Amino acid sequence: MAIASLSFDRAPPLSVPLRFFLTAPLFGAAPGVLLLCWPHGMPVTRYAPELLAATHLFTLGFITMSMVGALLQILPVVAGSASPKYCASGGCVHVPLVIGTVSLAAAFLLGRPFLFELAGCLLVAAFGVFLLMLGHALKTARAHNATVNAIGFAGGALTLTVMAGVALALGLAGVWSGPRWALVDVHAGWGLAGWVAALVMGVAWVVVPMFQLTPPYPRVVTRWAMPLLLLSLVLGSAGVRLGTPALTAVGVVGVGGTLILFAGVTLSLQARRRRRVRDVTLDFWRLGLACLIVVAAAIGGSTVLKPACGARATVLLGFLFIDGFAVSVIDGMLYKIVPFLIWLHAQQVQAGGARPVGNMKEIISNRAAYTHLGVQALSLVLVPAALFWPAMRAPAAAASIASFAVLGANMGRAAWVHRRLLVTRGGAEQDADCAMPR
Amino acid sequence: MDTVTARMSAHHKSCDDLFGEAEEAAARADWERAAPRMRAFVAEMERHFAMEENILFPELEAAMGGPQGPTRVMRTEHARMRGLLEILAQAVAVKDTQACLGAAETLLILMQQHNLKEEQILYPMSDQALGPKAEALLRALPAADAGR
Repeated sequence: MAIASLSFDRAPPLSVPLRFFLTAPLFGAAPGVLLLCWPHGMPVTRYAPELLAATHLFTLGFITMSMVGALLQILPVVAGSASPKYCASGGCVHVPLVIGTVSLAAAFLLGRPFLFELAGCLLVAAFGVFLLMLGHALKTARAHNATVNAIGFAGGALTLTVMAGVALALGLAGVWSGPRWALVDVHAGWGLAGWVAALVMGVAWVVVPMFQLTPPYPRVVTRWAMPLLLLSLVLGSAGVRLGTPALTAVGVVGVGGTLILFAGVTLSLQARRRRRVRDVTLDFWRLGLACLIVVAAAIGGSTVLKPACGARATVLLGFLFIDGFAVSVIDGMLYKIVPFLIWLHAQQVQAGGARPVGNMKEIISNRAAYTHLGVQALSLVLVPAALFWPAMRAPAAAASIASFAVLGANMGRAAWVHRRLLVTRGGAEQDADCAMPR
Repeated sequence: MDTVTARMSAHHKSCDDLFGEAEEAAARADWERAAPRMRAFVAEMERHFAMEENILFPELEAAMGGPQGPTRVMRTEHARMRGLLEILAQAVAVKDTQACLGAAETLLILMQQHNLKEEQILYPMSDQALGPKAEALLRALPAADAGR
């Protein structure tokens, strides 16, 4: 192994992940705006066009946007892999992902076939470039561990999700007439449990022990969680494809069980953490994991017990997984990643005469981050309430918008610190040659 | 099996324990407890840096043919951590909880991502590259709990 080929100092410039992190809160606030504007209250079926638009604004615009930005940043550290041309390729993913997500939401709301075609093309372009970059990073990875395997699994699940999603979009555009509705559950299952949950799990193997000084995850969990998830998703998808509900049920219970195992083990490790100070990331994770346990237990339980599960309950569980689990966990991670990257960048440019940034909490204060946590928790109570009591619609929408507005303000403040440092140093163009030392 | 990876990773954990104790005491403004814990943590960090900069990195650089990028990056990060350790020690001395917790949070992230790169890549590479020399080097590296 040649030491000279190791690339600890070739991670992307700060502007690459930052553009994803700054865009994400705008998309996260959009479903709240839609909720406020819906003339007939909150839709209570998962196939309502407004709800499909809101779902994709969350999943593509916030969750995937943030996860792609974070992956581009952390891969060189976690995998020890060489970095491709991030500056150009960051934009190649970001721009089509932004326009593609807007087009898809507009396509659902307006029902225009050409918008589905446009969204399909742009999202294939965005994910095509991203998956090529991911594949390259994993291929050149020098570290082979459970996290790298989970990232690979999540990349595979994303590929399937995109393929099924594009087929569905082409169906809605009237271009393709395949077995459309059977694909919806496959698309949602691989997207939420495969791409989102698997990536959160793989990242958790590393960051939970790192940030809270917990014991490491038991080897049996990190070794078998991904194969179990894969097997469950394959069984569930096969059940859908073959029209065998019993097989689908086994898959769903397997996914639910794996997610409960992950959440339970993580909460138990966090309870045994050696770092006992109050930490906003820890509290966001606890909120998210509690939502995950509720959703996984409810979905697994309803599959086994087969109660008359209403349309409202389905929408509620989807919301709790997407906004309760995934968004909360990502929020928590952003409060570690963004201030640290900006602090690190500040260390590099301080030699140029900029005013020093002493520590991460001077970039985003504890109070600002905890304000966000409080508003996020409030929105997780009010939005489900609005599902059952339409009078709660306006307060629920306001809380949801406020949660992402506070996040956006916090991220914006951090970006302003970064911008001020660049200006002091003598121009934004210098960012390009300011690669972070990884 | 005793390897550079096992020995140095264990010392990281030992430093983490001291960090957790010092940070918790500072958060409670229990300065009588925080001051000695912080001194012990700073001393162990310095000992760890010295092991790497004076023993491990030179051996690795010699085995690989001269000073190279990865060890240079590691030394740069050591310098950044030393800066934060100074701020931490100063904050404990003047009993400033906010400054202490801000510097501790920053140091934790810097330290953990640094450790990850060492434990995942640099230490295994050292074990592989140094071969028979690793045994002599291990004798020169103090045990992880020697300073406690």
